[in-house]
Amino acid sequence: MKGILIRKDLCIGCRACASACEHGIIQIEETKEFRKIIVSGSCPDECKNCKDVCPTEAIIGEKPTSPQEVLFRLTLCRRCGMPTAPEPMLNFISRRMNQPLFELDLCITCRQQLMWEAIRER
Amino acid sequence: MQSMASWKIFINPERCIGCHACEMACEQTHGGASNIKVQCAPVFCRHCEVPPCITVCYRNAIEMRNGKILLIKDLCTNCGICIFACPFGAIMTTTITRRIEPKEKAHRDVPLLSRLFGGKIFPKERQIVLVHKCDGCVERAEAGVARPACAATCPSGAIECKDIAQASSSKRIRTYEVHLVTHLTHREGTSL
Repeated sequence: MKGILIRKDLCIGCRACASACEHGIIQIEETKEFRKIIVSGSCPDECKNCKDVCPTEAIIGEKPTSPQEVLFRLTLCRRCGMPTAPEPMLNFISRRMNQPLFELDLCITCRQQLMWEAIRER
Repeated sequence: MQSMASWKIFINPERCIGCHACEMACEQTHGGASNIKVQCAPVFCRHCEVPPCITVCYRNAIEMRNGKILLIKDLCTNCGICIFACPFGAIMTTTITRRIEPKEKAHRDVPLLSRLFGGKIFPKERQIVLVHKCDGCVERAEAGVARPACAATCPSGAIECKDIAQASSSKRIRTYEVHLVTHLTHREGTSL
């Protein structure tokens, strides 16, 4: 019986743990504004999948834990206003890439469109 | 047969008629998940020389082989970090649903209260957002087919596959070399 406790100060809100969890204990709910990471109790198995894949080592806990939720507000695309990714996740990318954050707050569709617009203008 | 490293994929955005044939071809080649999105013109991995996705991946699940950037599925955690690192939006996602196999041991260990809400604690299925990207049709190249599926399918010649010797001359006629752009073109206006 192993607990799953997500440290809210370290979690960046990516989807790694949710797709690693084979029991569906960690799940992600996404609405228009928020991404919610839902942990529905303790892990029944002795697996450590979620711990292994976490990019920031935010998952801790040895004792059984109660259900918990981590809520992230999604950053809005600066061009179209659609939700993109949680801000801590963009911060993580900007740190790793040594790139300012404002370059990253575009949604995927806008990136794809802007690429062709930039090429057409030339 | 052309070898892997000798050709590159070129896109002529003006020629694209938006028929989505490349998406279909890619879907068939890669088991139901297309690595191409037609957004004004086909968007897929440009196989950058300095790829931000490789820099950002914390599992080293993306690597460069013969000038092609490949995602290694066994190492990938589907975290989605590379999606937002890519300036072109060329890394795609597909949502799939997988059944959860109930384990006897798992159910035995759970307290009675939890077992009453079994459906909630142990959901029957889970959704995974799979991350995938263009691999330059490595499998086709290994099987001896020269061109990637998208270039072979495109009816209007918007996606072309040329070898490097032809590439330098075709640059003049506004064909865009896929390989050289490594930065946000719309921001910095870097050379193509």
